Amino acid sequence: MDDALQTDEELALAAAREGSDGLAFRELMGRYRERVWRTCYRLMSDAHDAQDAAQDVFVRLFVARKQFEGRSKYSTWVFGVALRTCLTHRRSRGRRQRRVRLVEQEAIEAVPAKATGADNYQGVDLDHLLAKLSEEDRALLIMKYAEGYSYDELAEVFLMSVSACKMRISRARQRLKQQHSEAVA
Amino acid sequence: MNADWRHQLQDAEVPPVPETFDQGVHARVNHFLLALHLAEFAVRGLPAAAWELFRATADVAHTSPPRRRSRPPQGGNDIA
Repeated sequence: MDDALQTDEELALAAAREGSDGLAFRELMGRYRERVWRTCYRLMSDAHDAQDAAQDVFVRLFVARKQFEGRSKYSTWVFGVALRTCLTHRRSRGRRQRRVRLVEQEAIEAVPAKATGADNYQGVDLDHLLAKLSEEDRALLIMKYAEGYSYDELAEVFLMSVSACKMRISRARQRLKQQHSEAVA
Repeated sequence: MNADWRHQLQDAEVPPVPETFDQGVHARVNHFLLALHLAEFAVRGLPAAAWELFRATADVAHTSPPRRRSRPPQGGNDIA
């Protein structure tokens, strides 16, 4: 099978005809494994949760493989599924954690910054600042500035216009700046 | 401030894809397919099998000749 010569969209159509995760689906998985993993890791902020979410992404892609109609790029379809999966996992994880560790959470929030660490930003934990934004805003900033998605890609993935996407990212940046000022003060 | 947090986001280290990643996906897909086939079997296969069994039984009952009653032997007529 000349997978290297086939586009993602052609492979997706071939995968839709397969009964199980056959050659075409595995080739697609090979092409997107790294980037889906990176996106999930950035959005989940935890290796175990990222693996769970990323594997779930590919299962969802497999389950919905016949629904891809080729109206958009396959990559947009993949990252849309990845985004929605991560947001779902984060919400369910948030609910679980709130139930289990309500008291612990209050103690963590009382500490404004980590003393050291790669995710320390001018004395303030960047993850902590990002976590105060809405899930969509946080995901937008991470996908834009950490993973380098273009505005066009983000607009398609988040199902909004490019101008609305730019506006939302700009507002999210302002909110992050505001959170930072409050944390430093 | 802006450039700093952007650089920090970009520079944050991402570990490599776990070695068992593909096997995990394959196992999950297999579980999904197994569940799908079992559900399909329960929803479509079993009712279809029950219906076929019912039809076959009904056909047998319908086409079988009626059972003859056994008559008591009448003694002494047939032997001279």
